Amino acid sequence: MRSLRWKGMALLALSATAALGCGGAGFDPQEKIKGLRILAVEKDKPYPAPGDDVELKLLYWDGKSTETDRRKIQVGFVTCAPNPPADLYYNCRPVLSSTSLQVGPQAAGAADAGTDAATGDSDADADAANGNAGGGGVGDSDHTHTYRVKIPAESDVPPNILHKAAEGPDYGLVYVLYAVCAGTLEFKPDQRTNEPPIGCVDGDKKLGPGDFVTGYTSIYVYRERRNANPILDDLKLNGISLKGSTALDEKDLPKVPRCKGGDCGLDIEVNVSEESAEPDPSAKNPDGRPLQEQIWAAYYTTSGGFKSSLRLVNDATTGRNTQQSTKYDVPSEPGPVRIWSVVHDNRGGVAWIEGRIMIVDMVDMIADRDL
Amino acid sequence: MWLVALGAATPAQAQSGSSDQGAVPSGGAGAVRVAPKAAPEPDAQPVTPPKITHFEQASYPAEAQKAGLEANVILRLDIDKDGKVTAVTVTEPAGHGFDEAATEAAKKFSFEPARRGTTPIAARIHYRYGFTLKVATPEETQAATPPPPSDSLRGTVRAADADLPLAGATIELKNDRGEATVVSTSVDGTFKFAGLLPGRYKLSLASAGFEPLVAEEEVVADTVTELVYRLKTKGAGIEVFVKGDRPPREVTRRTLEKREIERIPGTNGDALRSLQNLPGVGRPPGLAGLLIIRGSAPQDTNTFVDGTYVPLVYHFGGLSSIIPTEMLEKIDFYPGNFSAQYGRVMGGIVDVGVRSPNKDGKYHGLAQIDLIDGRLLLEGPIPLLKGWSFIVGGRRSWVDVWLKPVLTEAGAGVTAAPVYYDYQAYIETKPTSRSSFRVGVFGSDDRLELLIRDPAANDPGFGGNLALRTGFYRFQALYRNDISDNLKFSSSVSYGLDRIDFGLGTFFFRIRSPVLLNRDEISYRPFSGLTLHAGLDLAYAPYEVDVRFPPPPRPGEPSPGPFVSRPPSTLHDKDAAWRPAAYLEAEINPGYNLKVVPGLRVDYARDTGKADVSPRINARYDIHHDFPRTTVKGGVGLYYQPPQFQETSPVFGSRGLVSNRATHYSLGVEQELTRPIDVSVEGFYKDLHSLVARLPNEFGNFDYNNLGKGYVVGAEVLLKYKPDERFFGWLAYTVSRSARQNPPDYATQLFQYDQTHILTLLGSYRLGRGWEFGARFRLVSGSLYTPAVGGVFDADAGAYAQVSGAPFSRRVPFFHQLDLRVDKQWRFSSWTLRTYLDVQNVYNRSNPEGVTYNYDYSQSRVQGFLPIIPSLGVRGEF
Repeated sequence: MRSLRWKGMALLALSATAALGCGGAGFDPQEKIKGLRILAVEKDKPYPAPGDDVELKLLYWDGKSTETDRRKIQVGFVTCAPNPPADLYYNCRPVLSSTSLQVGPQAAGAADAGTDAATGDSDADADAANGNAGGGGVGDSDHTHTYRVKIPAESDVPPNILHKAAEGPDYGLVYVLYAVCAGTLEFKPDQRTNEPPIGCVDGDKKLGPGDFVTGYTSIYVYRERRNANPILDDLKLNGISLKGSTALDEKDLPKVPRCKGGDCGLDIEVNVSEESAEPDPSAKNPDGRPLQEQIWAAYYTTSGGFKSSLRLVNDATTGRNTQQSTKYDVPSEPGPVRIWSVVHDNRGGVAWIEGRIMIVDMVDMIADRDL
Repeated sequence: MWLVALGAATPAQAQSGSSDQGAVPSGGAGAVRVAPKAAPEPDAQPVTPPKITHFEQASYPAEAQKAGLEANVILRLDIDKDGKVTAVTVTEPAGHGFDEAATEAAKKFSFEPARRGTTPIAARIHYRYGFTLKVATPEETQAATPPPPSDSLRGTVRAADADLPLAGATIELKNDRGEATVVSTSVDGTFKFAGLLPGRYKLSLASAGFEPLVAEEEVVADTVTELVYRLKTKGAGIEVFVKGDRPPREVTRRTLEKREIERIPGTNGDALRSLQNLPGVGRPPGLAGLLIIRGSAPQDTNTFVDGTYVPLVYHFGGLSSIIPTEMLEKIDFYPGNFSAQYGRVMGGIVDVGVRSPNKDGKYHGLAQIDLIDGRLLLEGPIPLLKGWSFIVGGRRSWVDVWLKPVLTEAGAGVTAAPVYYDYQAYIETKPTSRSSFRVGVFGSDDRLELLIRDPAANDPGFGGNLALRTGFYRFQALYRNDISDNLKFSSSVSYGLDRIDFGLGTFFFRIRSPVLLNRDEISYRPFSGLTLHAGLDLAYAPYEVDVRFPPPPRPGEPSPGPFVSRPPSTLHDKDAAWRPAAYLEAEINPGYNLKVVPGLRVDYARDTGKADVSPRINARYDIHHDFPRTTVKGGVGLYYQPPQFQETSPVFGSRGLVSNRATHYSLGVEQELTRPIDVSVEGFYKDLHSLVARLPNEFGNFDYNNLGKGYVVGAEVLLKYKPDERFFGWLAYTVSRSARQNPPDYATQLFQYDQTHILTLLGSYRLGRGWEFGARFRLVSGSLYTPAVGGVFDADAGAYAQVSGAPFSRRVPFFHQLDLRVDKQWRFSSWTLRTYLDVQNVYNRSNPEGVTYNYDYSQSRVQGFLPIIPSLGVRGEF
């Protein structure tokens, strides 16, 4: 009886949250990268076992840089002690110390990043059991960074990494906080909100959105439950594969005529392997029917936009979305453009695919190759 | 020989009818009371009753005259639009030849026809033909006795044509033993009789130049019967009775008449939405149908239909009420300090009364359609079942017809477009003149199913298949028996089902709960000045619940990040909620101007395993008893509210919780300014203790406790012009502050639903010729919100978590809005047609409802919500 009322309130609150929480016309669109942004963090083991090493790969992009003139970006990681109260990311702060923030090498262009990637792996290991991080990870390209976390093994001495759940298998939870900064990262333990205790300054100037991003990722630990990241086969723009285009010289990039007005939308779709939609053993609907993973794709670009920047790939109940493509709105300015599709599942699985195209005048296109 | 024509209802009928429907107090701020069907149509043009132009003297039956018999014969006269009597029916025979004599004489009457506006119309009136052997002579007699200790019957005599008080009119009151008391009206036309024993009395009223009047009145224990008589100058003969109601057992019970409910601009005639115009009621955001009563959360207020708890009040959370206005008899609204008959909540009570079927022996119906839904209603006698009548209604929204293509165009896959139904069906009878019995069923069903192909940017978990079905039904039986003047009994039993099926992506919530509810009350008046009420309020609800959801944040807590990145908690539970309660309440009238109502209620909740004892006391004192009446009122009491389901759930909550507790204090004054205008001012304070709060624990969840505290303090003013033939309107203003203190720091913070200022000004005026025009203006403090001071990227969701500032520390700008409504009615010989245009937000203000942010919470702006909304409706009624 009272449950109905509670549920009604919850539904209303969710609706209000969805309606008022974010988005809306007039704001910078989410998909268009204008400043420094984190796009994804991929864990090689979304559901590791106790004692596992987990490799985290962070994808970021600085929209204020150009392809040839990059700002120096600093990347930092903090590993929290396991099992924060109420599983809330912001509750990991009390176990931090001033040494917790481990700053990785600055990435400032592909060549430099390649050099920094030689940083020893052992320094990058984090010991999650003590709430301390290892090294700041390695910059393995001009806009990715790798970091490793050591999940504590099970122990007979409390606290064990795994604890009992109200329902379902025992589990543990390790949060990894991270930040990218177009200045210098600093540890700020006195944060009073649910913001990670990391700041970013350029001299005396405190940097904010566009120059500094913080974030977190959760690592759920189970004895037996596993999850795999989505498998991405391709990214196609108007049927043309963009896979591997990041390795091409600019002159070899797929060319797209610039928009001169009217409808300039091209079909774009990330091809997600059907086997990505794993059955979720923890999930059954009230009738006992097993549910699959919920999978969705987020699209980002350095120029242009998308009709829908998030598209459902697989629904837990109804299965694969047969209309998962969206439209890429071609920009009017010529030049190289990057496009990413980051695909998530609802169990911490993440994968991305990146493509490059060249926006050209029609004359250039006729003279060269087409799309 | 006296000749009196009565209005549509005799006094006796008015009394018993009211009793059957349950007396609805109205003093001052009063109770919600929907005018009975027999009352003048609220939307009609002014009606002039027929005036007799030729009176035919009946011959006194010889046998009766010889035997010394006197009598009154009640006739029903059908008068056509030419003023001719077309039919005479004896409705209350007297025998001994009186009926035949009266009938023959009445057939020869002539009338100036009744008129609606200036148009002659047919009319039906009740006519009392009196036969007496002695002509009563008005006497200028003063009351011989000193002022009595209490008023049992009081009223005013007015000249009907000029609507002026009549001084010096003589009123003789005879009991059934023939003992008479005579008083005369004072300069303001008022009179009163005090110290009367319960029973029926014959009242004879006379004034020179006016038609005399005879009526039968009933004096009920502990009830002041207030009457208004309007005497016609000789030759006319229609009178209107207005019955006063028993003062409420509560400090405040608000009143809205049916005309007000139907015609308040901006509500589309929706019954429960009209409540939002009363003082003490907050403005819910947008179209939400939340009842925010005196700074309490919506879940702190319960809604009942004839005493039966209902889990849902609005379709789809606010689109329209689950019971259409046409089915309503009354709405009782208690904003605080309510009687011991209600419990389990700390906020307020709304009790909706479904009206009785029309009992005029004919069939009536209604069909209405507007932009949202269509509805049908039919009522009348049940063939072959003498004394039984029925009323049945149904409604279906048709938004799916136009919303489905809109949603499809927006990219959603629509499996089932949003649609809602509700239905009501009752049969009713009066086994005896003092009892009534009604059985019926009512329910509501809302459903939709969509495939959301564009997940929400701030939480991609809100995407995929969205399925929602909410509904309930209740089989209900109501019995009431006024066993004697001193003993009354009422009972309601209902059985039904509450259900919710909600699924979104991988999240779901499903509950099935058969509900058995029972309320019984017995009232006993051992002696004058004391009435005792004892009652049971039982609720038994087995339930089966399946939940898969991450624990949502509570109001004021920092954002935990997108739901989709957190493994949901799952729960399958099958149990039963058992919440019996009993109460005892006394109405004590130690003097004619004082009423004290102490009460005690004991509630048990199986889920907490504890009993809550709630003592309460309310009082009213008339400083000035006669017009202009001045009443002070106040109350104090304890109110308990058991924890919410999720708070005691083994998965989501904690064991060992006790009920939330509130102490209500209120003090106010009611003042009559003129006959139609009164004002009430009331201050209130709610001290909140043992509120359920929570703290995070080391096991991935929260420990719930009863460490929360808070308070609500405020004052409300209602300046009201009561409905008359032309106008109704009021000004309502509330100022309040609602705050909470939660662990661990117990910092005082404003409550989510705090609204400092709430001002409503509205009125509706009949222009004539079937036109009516209304306007409403509202000015309300903006809603509170928790500002975002930044965003944190949740890599698992690919979305940002809001970094929260101080909880509810900011307020969006003031809300103000003007709504207009125009009604036009056409009357035909056997049916009426009505159209209305209701325009919300006439000057198209983008009223702020909250703050919206960009993807990383680095940009924000105040978000306007509803633009100008015109709504058109058409109704046919017979």
